[in-house]
Amino acid sequence: MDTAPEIAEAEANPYLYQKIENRLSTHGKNSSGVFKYKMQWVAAFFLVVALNASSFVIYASKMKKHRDVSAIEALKGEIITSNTYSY
Amino acid sequence: MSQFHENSFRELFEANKSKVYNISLNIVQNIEDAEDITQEVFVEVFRSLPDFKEASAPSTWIYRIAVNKSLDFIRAKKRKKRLAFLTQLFHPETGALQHEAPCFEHPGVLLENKEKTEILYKAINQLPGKQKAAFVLCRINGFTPQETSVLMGLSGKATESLLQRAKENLKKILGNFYDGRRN
Repeated sequence: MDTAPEIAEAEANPYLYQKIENRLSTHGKNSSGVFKYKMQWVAAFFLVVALNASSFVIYASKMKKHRDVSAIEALKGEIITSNTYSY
Repeated sequence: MSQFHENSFRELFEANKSKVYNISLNIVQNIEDAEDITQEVFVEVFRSLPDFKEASAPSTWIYRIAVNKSLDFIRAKKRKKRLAFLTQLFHPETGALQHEAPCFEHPGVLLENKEKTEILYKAINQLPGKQKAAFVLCRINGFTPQETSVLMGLSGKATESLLQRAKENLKKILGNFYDGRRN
């Protein structure tokens, strides 16, 4: 290792600067596009949450209505039965 | 970008591109990867240039980025290799190992030294990441141990220890290699 063969510096690609410039300009164009794409997913997420929440609210109110109706039917049945037996 | 910013960046690029490329090349041992890393280094330099506070020389700052990016690249490559069982390990047609690095031919080496250099680089490739980086920076890229410790963000003693362990490990690896050859 102390007598390692001579390793000269290799030449970098002569077009490296152009490649870097392209990267910088492409990233600049892409970054606003990437932001919009990410925002679309955020909006989709909140839409899904909102849809689920509204479905739950509708379902809960329907279930409450159904429970109220069942309770009234049960009460009606009891009244009819008690009226029948009281004779 | 402002003209001043662009001019400063261009100057820094021209002054340091060769060294950055060679640092990456000697650590990752692949010409295309070294080029990619060099591009990433200078893209980061360009973005961070307005915030550069001149705590160190600009070249030191740039070489530190190059060392860090090269080490990150090696770690990412090792992670991919560990997950290789999820992908096909062998090429379906040739049967060759897909995740094995080919022999590294350094473009800066004379023809008569090619074989020795390939053996040396193969041995260096078996070192752990930090030992590899320390050895390459000091013995191949020509930085002093003090400069190497600054580039790697380590103390002088830590760097010396890395260099010592790298040397011992290389002696073992090369010793085993040459013993195998004799037998």
